[in-house]
Amino acid sequence: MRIGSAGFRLSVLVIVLLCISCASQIGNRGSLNTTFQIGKTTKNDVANALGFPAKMKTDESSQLELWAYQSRPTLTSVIYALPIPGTTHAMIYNHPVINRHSDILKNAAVVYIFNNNGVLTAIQRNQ
Amino acid sequence: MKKRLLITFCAVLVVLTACASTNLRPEVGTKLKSGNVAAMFYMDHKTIDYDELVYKVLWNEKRQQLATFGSFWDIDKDLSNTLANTMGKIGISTKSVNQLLFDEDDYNALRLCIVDNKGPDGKNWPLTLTPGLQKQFKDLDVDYLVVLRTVSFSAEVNSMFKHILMRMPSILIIYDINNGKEEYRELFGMGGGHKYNKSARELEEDGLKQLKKLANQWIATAVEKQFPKTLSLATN
Repeated sequence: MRIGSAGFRLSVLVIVLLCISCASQIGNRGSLNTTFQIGKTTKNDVANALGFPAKMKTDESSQLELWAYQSRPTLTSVIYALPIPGTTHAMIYNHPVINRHSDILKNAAVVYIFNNNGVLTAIQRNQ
Repeated sequence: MKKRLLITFCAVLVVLTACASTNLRPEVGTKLKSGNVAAMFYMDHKTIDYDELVYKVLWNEKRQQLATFGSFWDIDKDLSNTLANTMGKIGISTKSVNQLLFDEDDYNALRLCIVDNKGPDGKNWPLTLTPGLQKQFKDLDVDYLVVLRTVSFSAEVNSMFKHILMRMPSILIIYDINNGKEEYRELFGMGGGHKYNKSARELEEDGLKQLKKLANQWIATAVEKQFPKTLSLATN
Protein backbone atom coordinates (compact mmCIF):
# COMPACT_ATOMS: atom_id res chain seq x y z
CA MET A 1 0.00 0.00 0.00
CA ARG A 2 1.54 3.31 -1.08
CA ILE A 3 1.60 6.33 1.25
CA GLY A 4 -1.04 8.75 0.02
CA SER A 5 -3.16 6.07 -1.65
CA ALA A 6 -6.89 5.82 -0.86
CA GLY A 7 -6.37 2.52 0.99
CA PHE A 8 -3.62 4.03 3.15
CA ARG A 9 -5.75 7.05 4.02
CA LEU A 10 -8.71 4.82 4.92
CA SER A 11 -6.50 2.66 7.18
CA VAL A 12 -5.18 5.78 8.98
CA LEU A 13 -8.76 7.03 9.46
CA VAL A 14 -9.89 3.68 10.94
CA ILE A 15 -6.86 3.61 13.32
CA VAL A 16 -7.53 7.20 14.46
CA LEU A 17 -11.21 6.44 15.03
CA LEU A 18 -10.37 3.31 17.03
CA CYS A 19 -7.96 5.36 19.19
CA ILE A 20 -10.70 7.82 20.17
CA SER A 21 -13.14 5.11 21.26
CA CYS A 22 -14.04 5.52 24.91
CA ALA A 23 -13.40 3.37 27.95
CA SER A 24 -16.08 2.81 30.55
CA GLN A 25 -15.97 5.37 33.37
CA ILE A 26 -18.41 3.83 35.81
CA GLY A 27 -16.25 0.96 37.11
CA ASN A 28 -14.83 0.65 40.63
CA ARG A 29 -12.80 3.70 41.63
CA GLY A 30 -9.75 1.58 42.50
CA SER A 31 -8.32 -1.87 41.83
CA LEU A 32 -9.90 -4.82 43.58
CA ASN A 33 -6.32 -5.89 44.39
CA THR A 34 -5.94 -2.90 46.73
CA THR A 35 -4.52 -4.10 50.03
CA PHE A 36 -6.73 -3.67 53.08
CA GLN A 37 -5.85 -4.68 56.62
CA ILE A 38 -8.17 -7.07 58.38
CA GLY A 39 -9.01 -5.79 61.85
CA LYS A 40 -8.03 -2.23 60.91
CA THR A 41 -9.59 -1.11 57.63
CA THR A 42 -13.03 0.48 57.99
CA LYS A 43 -16.05 0.74 55.65
CA ASN A 44 -15.04 4.37 55.05
CA ASP A 45 -11.58 3.32 53.87
CA VAL A 46 -13.00 0.77 51.42
CA ALA A 47 -15.64 3.21 50.12
CA ASN A 48 -12.98 5.90 49.60
CA ALA A 49 -10.67 3.52 47.74
CA LEU A 50 -13.16 1.61 45.58
CA GLY A 51 -16.44 3.52 45.67
CA PHE A 52 -19.59 1.94 47.06
CA PRO A 53 -20.28 -1.76 46.42
CA ALA A 54 -22.72 -3.15 43.89
CA LYS A 55 -24.54 -4.91 46.71
CA MET A 56 -24.70 -4.59 50.50
CA LYS A 57 -26.21 -7.24 52.72
CA THR A 58 -26.41 -7.62 56.48
CA ASP A 59 -26.48 -11.09 57.93
CA GLU A 60 -29.11 -10.81 60.68
CA SER A 61 -27.77 -13.64 62.85
CA SER A 62 -24.07 -12.67 62.85
CA GLN A 63 -24.61 -8.91 62.33
CA LEU A 64 -21.87 -9.03 59.70
CA GLU A 65 -22.19 -6.67 56.72
CA LEU A 66 -21.20 -7.92 53.27
CA TRP A 67 -20.00 -5.54 50.56
CA ALA A 68 -19.92 -7.20 47.14
CA TYR A 69 -17.89 -5.73 44.27
CA GLN A 70 -18.05 -6.72 40.61
CA SER A 71 -14.84 -6.75 38.58
CA ARG A 72 -16.28 -4.45 35.89
CA PRO A 73 -19.55 -2.79 34.91
CA THR A 74 -22.09 -5.19 33.46
CA LEU A 75 -22.45 -5.13 29.68
CA THR A 76 -26.19 -4.93 29.12
CA SER A 77 -26.50 -4.34 25.38
CA VAL A 78 -24.59 -3.72 22.17
CA ILE A 79 -25.87 -1.17 19.67
CA TYR A 80 -24.74 -1.15 16.04
CA ALA A 81 -25.93 -0.05 12.64
CA LEU A 82 -25.87 -2.02 9.38
CA PRO A 83 -26.58 -0.59 5.93
CA ILE A 84 -29.73 -1.78 4.23
CA PRO A 85 -28.61 -3.23 0.86
CA GLY A 86 -29.73 -1.26 -2.15
CA THR A 87 -30.64 1.84 -0.12
CA THR A 88 -28.83 4.76 1.49
CA HIS A 89 -30.39 3.91 4.87
CA ALA A 90 -29.11 1.93 7.82
CA MET A 91 -30.90 -0.23 10.36
CA ILE A 92 -29.98 0.21 14.04
CA TYR A 93 -29.85 -2.96 16.14
CA ASN A 94 -29.89 -3.06 19.95
CA HIS A 95 -28.92 -6.49 21.24
CA PRO A 96 -29.47 -7.16 24.94
CA VAL A 97 -26.51 -9.12 26.30
CA ILE A 98 -27.37 -10.39 29.76
CA ASN A 99 -30.04 -10.22 32.41
CA ARG A 100 -29.47 -6.95 34.27
CA HIS A 101 -30.75 -8.46 37.51
CA SER A 102 -28.38 -11.42 37.90
CA ASP A 103 -27.34 -12.37 41.43
CA ILE A 104 -24.66 -9.79 42.26
CA LEU A 105 -23.62 -11.37 45.55
CA LYS A 106 -23.11 -14.78 43.95
CA ASN A 107 -21.19 -13.40 40.96
CA ALA A 108 -19.14 -10.83 42.89
CA ALA A 109 -15.39 -10.71 42.26
CA VAL A 110 -14.65 -9.71 45.87
CA VAL A 111 -16.77 -9.61 49.01
CA TYR A 112 -15.56 -7.54 51.97
CA ILE A 113 -17.04 -8.53 55.32
CA PHE A 114 -17.35 -6.00 58.15
CA ASN A 115 -18.32 -6.46 61.80
CA ASN A 116 -20.97 -4.31 63.47
CA ASN A 117 -18.29 -1.71 64.33
CA GLY A 118 -17.64 -1.24 60.62
CA VAL A 119 -14.20 -2.89 60.73
CA LEU A 120 -13.05 -5.34 58.04
CA THR A 121 -13.05 -8.93 59.34
CA ALA A 122 -12.62 -11.01 56.16
CA ILE A 123 -12.19 -10.83 52.39
CA GLN A 124 -13.64 -13.40 49.98
CA ARG A 125 -12.24 -13.53 46.46
CA ASN A 126 -14.15 -15.45 43.84
CA GLN A 127 -11.52 -15.33 41.10
CA MET B 1 -49.85 25.09 3.71
CA LYS B 2 -50.52 27.47 6.61
CA LYS B 3 -53.64 25.48 7.49
CA ARG B 4 -51.66 22.22 7.54
CA LEU B 5 -49.02 23.77 9.77
CA LEU B 6 -51.70 25.02 12.15
CA ILE B 7 -53.35 21.58 12.32
CA THR B 8 -49.96 19.94 13.02
CA PHE B 9 -49.19 22.54 15.72
CA CYS B 10 -52.58 21.92 17.38
CA ALA B 11 -52.07 18.14 17.26
CA VAL B 12 -48.65 18.53 18.97
CA LEU B 13 -50.22 20.81 21.60
CA VAL B 14 -52.94 18.23 22.34
CA VAL B 15 -50.33 15.50 22.77
CA LEU B 16 -48.21 17.72 25.05
CA THR B 17 -51.24 18.65 27.14
CA ALA B 18 -52.06 14.97 27.60
CA CYS B 19 -48.52 14.32 28.87
CA ALA B 20 -48.58 17.11 31.46
CA SER B 21 -49.21 16.02 35.04
CA THR B 22 -52.31 17.19 36.84
CA ASN B 23 -52.28 19.59 39.75
CA LEU B 24 -53.82 19.25 43.20
CA ARG B 25 -57.41 20.47 43.35
CA PRO B 26 -57.34 24.19 44.36
CA GLU B 27 -59.69 23.68 47.34
CA VAL B 28 -57.32 21.03 48.75
CA GLY B 29 -54.35 23.31 48.02
CA THR B 30 -56.02 26.07 50.08
CA LYS B 31 -56.55 23.73 53.04
CA LEU B 32 -53.00 22.41 52.74
CA LYS B 33 -51.57 25.93 52.84
CA SER B 34 -53.53 26.86 55.96
CA GLY B 35 -53.04 23.52 57.73
CA ASN B 36 -50.17 21.65 59.33
CA VAL B 37 -48.19 19.26 57.17
CA ALA B 38 -45.88 16.31 57.84
CA ALA B 39 -43.31 15.75 55.10
CA MET B 40 -41.56 12.51 54.27
CA PHE B 41 -38.98 11.53 51.67
CA TYR B 42 -38.49 7.82 51.07
CA MET B 43 -36.08 6.00 48.73
CA ASP B 44 -36.82 2.29 48.16
CA HIS B 45 -33.32 1.15 47.16
CA LYS B 46 -30.46 3.14 48.54
CA THR B 47 -28.48 2.85 45.31
CA ILE B 48 -27.05 4.86 42.42
CA ASP B 49 -27.90 3.07 39.16
CA TYR B 50 -25.24 4.08 36.65
CA ASP B 51 -26.11 3.51 32.99
CA GLU B 52 -23.42 4.33 30.48
CA LEU B 53 -23.28 4.57 26.71
CA VAL B 54 -19.72 3.70 25.71
CA TYR B 55 -18.66 4.82 22.25
CA LYS B 56 -16.64 2.10 20.47
CA VAL B 57 -16.52 3.63 16.94
CA LEU B 58 -18.03 0.68 15.06
CA TRP B 59 -20.58 -0.05 17.75
CA ASN B 60 -21.81 1.36 21.08
CA GLU B 61 -22.11 -0.50 24.34
CA LYS B 62 -24.55 0.01 27.20
CA ARG B 63 -23.03 -0.77 30.57
CA GLN B 64 -24.54 -0.76 34.02
CA GLN B 65 -23.05 -0.43 37.49
CA LEU B 66 -24.82 -0.34 40.81
CA ALA B 67 -23.40 1.53 43.79
CA THR B 68 -25.23 0.71 47.01
CA PHE B 69 -24.81 3.16 49.88
CA GLY B 70 -27.47 1.58 52.13
CA SER B 71 -27.34 2.80 55.71
CA PHE B 72 -24.12 4.73 55.01
CA TRP B 73 -26.28 7.80 54.37
CA ASP B 74 -29.63 8.25 56.14
CA ILE B 75 -31.04 9.77 52.98
CA ASP B 76 -34.68 9.49 54.10
CA LYS B 77 -34.08 11.58 57.21
CA ASP B 78 -31.78 14.04 55.48
CA LEU B 79 -34.06 14.73 52.52
CA SER B 80 -37.25 14.67 54.64
CA ASN B 81 -35.74 17.56 56.60
CA THR B 82 -34.85 19.44 53.40
CA LEU B 83 -38.35 18.82 52.03
CA ALA B 84 -39.94 20.14 55.24
CA ASN B 85 -37.63 23.18 55.47
CA THR B 86 -38.19 24.19 51.84
CA MET B 87 -41.96 23.73 52.11
CA GLY B 88 -41.76 26.07 55.11
CA LYS B 89 -40.03 28.65 52.91
CA ILE B 90 -42.91 28.63 50.42
CA GLY B 91 -45.40 29.26 53.19
CA ILE B 92 -46.59 25.79 54.23
CA SER B 93 -46.32 25.00 57.92
CA THR B 94 -44.37 21.74 57.68
CA LYS B 95 -42.45 19.40 59.95
CA SER B 96 -40.40 16.42 58.88
CA VAL B 97 -41.87 13.05 59.96
CA ASN B 98 -38.61 12.54 61.86
CA GLN B 99 -39.54 15.51 64.07
CA LEU B 100 -42.97 13.98 64.72
CA LEU B 101 -42.51 10.22 64.94
CA PHE B 102 -39.72 9.58 67.42
CA ASP B 103 -40.56 5.92 67.96
CA GLU B 104 -38.76 3.68 65.45
CA ASP B 105 -41.73 1.26 65.35
CA ASP B 106 -44.09 4.09 64.37
CA TYR B 107 -41.70 5.24 61.65
CA ASN B 108 -41.41 1.67 60.31
CA ALA B 109 -45.21 1.30 60.36
CA LEU B 110 -45.49 4.46 58.24
CA ARG B 111 -42.77 3.21 55.89
CA LEU B 112 -44.67 -0.08 55.44
CA CYS B 113 -47.92 1.78 54.67
CA ILE B 114 -46.09 3.60 51.88
CA VAL B 115 -44.16 0.63 50.47
CA ASP B 116 -46.66 -2.24 50.83
CA ASN B 117 -49.63 -0.76 49.05
CA LYS B 118 -49.83 -2.94 45.96
CA GLY B 119 -53.18 -4.56 45.24
CA PRO B 120 -53.71 -8.10 43.93
CA ASP B 121 -53.51 -6.67 40.41
CA GLY B 122 -49.93 -5.54 41.10
CA LYS B 123 -50.87 -1.87 40.79
CA ASN B 124 -50.35 0.67 43.54
CA TRP B 125 -53.43 1.23 45.66
CA PRO B 126 -54.12 4.61 47.24
CA LEU B 127 -52.13 5.17 50.43
CA THR B 128 -53.97 4.20 53.61
CA LEU B 129 -52.55 4.78 57.08
CA THR B 130 -53.19 2.37 59.94
CA PRO B 131 -55.79 3.67 62.48
CA GLY B 132 -52.96 4.00 65.04
CA LEU B 133 -50.84 6.22 62.80
CA GLN B 134 -53.87 8.21 61.73
CA LYS B 135 -54.71 8.94 65.38
CA GLN B 136 -51.11 9.77 66.19
CA PHE B 137 -50.91 12.35 63.40
CA LYS B 138 -54.30 13.80 64.43
CA ASP B 139 -53.09 14.10 68.04
CA LEU B 140 -50.03 15.94 66.72
CA ASP B 141 -52.40 18.35 64.95
CA VAL B 142 -51.20 17.28 61.48
CA ASP B 143 -53.70 17.81 58.64
CA TYR B 144 -51.80 16.48 55.64
CA LEU B 145 -49.00 14.03 54.95
CA VAL B 146 -46.82 14.86 51.93
CA VAL B 147 -44.71 11.94 50.70
CA LEU B 148 -42.01 12.02 48.03
CA ARG B 149 -41.19 8.42 47.18
CA THR B 150 -38.40 7.49 44.80
CA VAL B 151 -36.84 4.17 43.78
CA SER B 152 -33.14 5.09 43.51
CA PHE B 153 -30.76 7.57 41.92
CA SER B 154 -30.52 7.12 38.18
CA ALA B 155 -27.27 8.31 36.58
CA GLU B 156 -27.03 8.29 32.78
CA VAL B 157 -23.37 8.67 31.93
CA ASN B 158 -22.05 9.87 28.60
CA SER B 159 -18.36 8.94 28.66
CA MET B 160 -17.59 10.98 25.53
CA PHE B 161 -18.64 14.31 27.08
CA LYS B 162 -17.87 13.43 30.73
CA HIS B 163 -21.41 14.30 31.62
CA ILE B 164 -23.96 12.68 33.91
CA LEU B 165 -27.68 13.20 33.73
CA MET B 166 -28.84 12.53 37.29
CA ARG B 167 -32.46 11.79 38.05
CA MET B 168 -34.58 11.00 41.08
CA PRO B 169 -37.82 9.87 39.44
CA SER B 170 -40.39 10.17 42.22
CA ILE B 171 -44.05 9.94 43.07
CA LEU B 172 -45.64 12.78 45.01
CA ILE B 173 -48.43 11.64 47.34
CA ILE B 174 -50.69 13.91 49.39
CA TYR B 175 -52.76 12.28 52.10
CA ASP B 176 -55.55 13.95 54.06
CA ILE B 177 -55.14 12.87 57.69
CA ASN B 178 -58.60 14.07 58.80
CA ASN B 179 -60.50 12.27 56.02
CA GLY B 180 -58.11 9.31 55.79
CA LYS B 181 -57.96 9.72 52.03
CA GLU B 182 -55.26 10.01 49.40
CA GLU B 183 -55.87 13.32 47.64
CA TYR B 184 -53.09 13.29 45.07
CA ARG B 185 -50.62 10.90 43.40
CA GLU B 186 -48.51 11.95 40.43
CA LEU B 187 -45.05 11.43 39.01
CA PHE B 188 -42.66 14.13 40.14
CA GLY B 189 -39.29 14.56 38.46
CA MET B 190 -36.14 15.89 40.10
CA GLY B 191 -32.51 15.95 39.05
CA GLY B 192 -30.01 17.75 36.86
CA GLY B 193 -26.85 17.58 34.78
CA HIS B 194 -23.40 17.19 36.27
CA LYS B 195 -19.88 17.33 34.80
CA TYR B 196 -17.09 15.08 36.10
CA ASN B 197 -13.32 15.03 35.66
CA LYS B 198 -11.99 11.47 35.53
CA SER B 199 -14.65 9.07 36.77
CA ALA B 200 -18.42 9.36 36.93
CA ARG B 201 -18.13 7.86 40.39
CA GLU B 202 -16.50 11.01 41.78
CA LEU B 203 -20.00 11.62 43.16
CA GLU B 204 -19.24 9.04 45.84
CA GLU B 205 -16.03 10.69 47.10
CA ASP B 206 -15.77 11.76 50.75
CA GLY B 207 -18.79 9.77 51.90
CA LEU B 208 -21.05 10.91 49.01
CA LYS B 209 -20.33 14.59 49.69
CA GLN B 210 -21.17 15.75 46.14
CA LEU B 211 -24.25 13.59 45.78
CA LYS B 212 -25.63 14.75 49.14
CA LYS B 213 -25.20 18.37 48.10
CA LEU B 214 -26.84 17.80 44.70
CA ALA B 215 -29.79 15.78 46.06
CA ASN B 216 -30.55 18.45 48.67
CA GLN B 217 -30.40 21.12 45.93
CA TRP B 218 -32.75 19.16 43.64
CA ILE B 219 -35.34 18.79 46.39
CA ALA B 220 -35.11 22.47 47.34
CA THR B 221 -35.32 23.65 43.72
CA ALA B 222 -38.19 21.31 42.85
CA VAL B 223 -40.20 22.36 45.90
CA GLU B 224 -39.59 26.08 45.35
CA LYS B 225 -40.24 26.01 41.60
CA GLN B 226 -42.83 23.22 41.09
CA PHE B 227 -44.82 22.97 44.33
CA PRO B 228 -46.63 26.34 44.02
CA LYS B 229 -48.13 25.19 40.70
CA THR B 230 -48.49 21.46 41.46
CA LEU B 231 -50.15 22.07 44.81
CA SER B 232 -52.26 24.93 43.39
CA LEU B 233 -50.79 27.33 45.95
CA ALA B 234 -50.31 30.16 43.48
CA THR B 235 -54.07 30.41 42.88
CA ASN B 236 -54.83 30.88 46.60
